[in-house]
Amino acid sequence: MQEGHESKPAKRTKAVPRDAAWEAAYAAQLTDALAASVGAFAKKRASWLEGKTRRRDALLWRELLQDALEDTWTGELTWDPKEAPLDLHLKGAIRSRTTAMMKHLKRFPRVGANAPRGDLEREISDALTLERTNTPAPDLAAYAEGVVGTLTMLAAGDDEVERILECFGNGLLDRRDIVRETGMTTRTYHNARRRLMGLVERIPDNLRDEAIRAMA
Amino acid sequence: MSQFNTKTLRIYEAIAYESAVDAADRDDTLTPDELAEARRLVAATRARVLAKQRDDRATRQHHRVRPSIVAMVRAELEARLRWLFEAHPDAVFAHRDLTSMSDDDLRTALEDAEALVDRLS
Repeated sequence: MQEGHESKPAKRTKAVPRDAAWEAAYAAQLTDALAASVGAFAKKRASWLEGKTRRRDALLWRELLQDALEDTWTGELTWDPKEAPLDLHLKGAIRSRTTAMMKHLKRFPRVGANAPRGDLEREISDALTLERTNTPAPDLAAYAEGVVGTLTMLAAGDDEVERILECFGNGLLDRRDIVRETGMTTRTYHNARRRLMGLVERIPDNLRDEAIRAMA
Repeated sequence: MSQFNTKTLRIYEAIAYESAVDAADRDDTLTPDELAEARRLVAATRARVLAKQRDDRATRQHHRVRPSIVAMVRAELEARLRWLFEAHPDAVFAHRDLTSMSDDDLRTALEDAEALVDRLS
């Protein structure tokens, strides 16, 4: 069951008083267990952002984690201890950041997590110009289409998995929203999700090369 | 090159998220070095928070506790508090177990006690 993992993206909304109680809550939840869980989450998100290419930024996951911690401490990201555990908040922050990076990428250069957010597109454009003259840049768009296409193929015939993918495509991400939309029971959803993730594991690592070759 | 259409991106991002959620639950996602690094980052942040809390407490105490009490060492603080408890057995103090309190907390407790005695006298 994934009950504890549905985080909403970090958002700058109402001000939360960052008083002694807030600081105490923040310090208390900065544990080794949190480090392991959020670190693993960040590493996996980074790997998907990199499109499982050989060009792997070993520092990206670290930067994602550090930025989430720093921005929460400075108040750049709002965390309300009453609303969500710190673990979920940090994962939400990392998710938001990497989603924004995915959306900005049509071709994928080496992009660090601490690229100035306002100038991200300019930096990518500059990097593309530089890289185009040197090495071929990995193509996240082609990779993503390959992944989604392969997944759709593998899921064919599994009605529940296909419905989850359809929900994802329509912007429904939260388990509760998907259950409501599809009419599945929670148990059915979790079983289907488990099957879906099993299919994800079957996507070959060399899909990138295959996807690009197929589209050539 | 194909367009990175919205629906594809949504599905890709969603499965990337679910994949990360599963990875967070497993023990084998981070290498031992990476785990140590993650712990170091979190511990460093925690140290900053605790340092700020200490600074804030010191500042509050500096403004709140009279200089004569700030200057006292622990033995003097404990002796004075014991004397006050004996002199005023009916008075109610929030803390009577002095051994578990830090020096700063003892100073604050003594300030509170002296202020209470001042008001009562």
